[in-house]
Amino acid sequence: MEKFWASLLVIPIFMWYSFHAVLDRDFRIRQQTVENIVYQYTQVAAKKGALYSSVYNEMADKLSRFGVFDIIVTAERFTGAGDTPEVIVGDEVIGKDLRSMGYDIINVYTESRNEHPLGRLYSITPYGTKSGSEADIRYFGKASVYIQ
Amino acid sequence: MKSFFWSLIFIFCTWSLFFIGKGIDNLDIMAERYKRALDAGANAASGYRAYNTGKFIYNQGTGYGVGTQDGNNMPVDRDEAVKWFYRLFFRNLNMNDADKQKELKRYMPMKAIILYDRLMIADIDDNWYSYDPAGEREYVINYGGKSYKFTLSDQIYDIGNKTWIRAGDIGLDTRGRKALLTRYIMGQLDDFLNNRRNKESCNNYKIVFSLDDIDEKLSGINGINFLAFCEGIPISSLNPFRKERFFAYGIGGSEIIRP
Repeated sequence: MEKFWASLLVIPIFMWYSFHAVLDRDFRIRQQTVENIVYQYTQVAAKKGALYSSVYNEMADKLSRFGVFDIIVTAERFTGAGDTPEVIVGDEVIGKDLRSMGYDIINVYTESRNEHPLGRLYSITPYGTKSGSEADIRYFGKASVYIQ
Repeated sequence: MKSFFWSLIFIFCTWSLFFIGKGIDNLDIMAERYKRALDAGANAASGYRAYNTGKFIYNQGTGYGVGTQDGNNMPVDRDEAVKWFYRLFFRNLNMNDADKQKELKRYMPMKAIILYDRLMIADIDDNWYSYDPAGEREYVINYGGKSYKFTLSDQIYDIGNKTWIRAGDIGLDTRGRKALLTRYIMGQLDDFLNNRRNKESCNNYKIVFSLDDIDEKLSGINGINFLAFCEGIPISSLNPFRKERFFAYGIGGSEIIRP
């Protein structure tokens, strides 16, 4: 009987740690991949001086392997001595010749619409009760590159 | 009772291991994030639009000294370069809040510009004068018992005779000259970095440039460069037994190319 109570204490905690280890590793690997994809394609756009639709679609396609993503694309142009840039967003950026339009920076921000299960794990204790902490964990990527 | 006791021991051990590893888990993600931000920032600092205009170069003058060395010099607006560096660096980290930016700047002990014939280094406060009261330091190196001002090309200035000569004139081939100058610059950067203020991490760093790469272009320092070093905001380990902090340090750099 004593062993039963001991195992009842140990098994849930062991399971919780195991789940955590697996999910945490899964999140970190995928998160890094998402960040790498975003940075890589933003760099391509900056080097070309334009974010072509084909490049954008390829990036969106690669990201779609990790779920449904919202992608926000902006370009910034600094004029004069001020620190506040002119900003264009979305369709005003995609397919436009940003370099000849005088834009300095291209930004791509992407965020998954789905929460990662790791957040759910944080919100419960090994015994299934609410832990009191709420974690909204989801994949995201942000890259800004100077247009040369 | 014995089983119950051992189960408690097991929980305590796994709980401890779980938290000890927690900070380290985030280290690789942060290091990669800093690295990307540093590269993007350095790329902007070295390529911002002003360098591409003849007007900028004209207004800055043609360079230093006299003779053919002028042709290799490249004027750099160091404050503008640092400004562009920060713009891109913080954008990549999605850090828009001024207070957070200020906090991270405390862990960015070195921004350096390796010029054609001199070195400029800025500290945490972006002050260029803590490295040298003149705000820059020429590459004055002793070789063969004499002092010379070196440059990134094979032109060197014989301080004693006040003349510009070629490195070959004092028996230095390209490889030897590059190694000598690169070691000098590495030493200057290391000294500055390891004698920095706000040395919270107590870490010493050694910056290394390859000197013997198969590709000649990747050996030594070949051009004018912008470099930035970041220690990153410390990451706590959550170790319940010892207060530990980790630093996801990184360095980024980019060559400034004349149009």
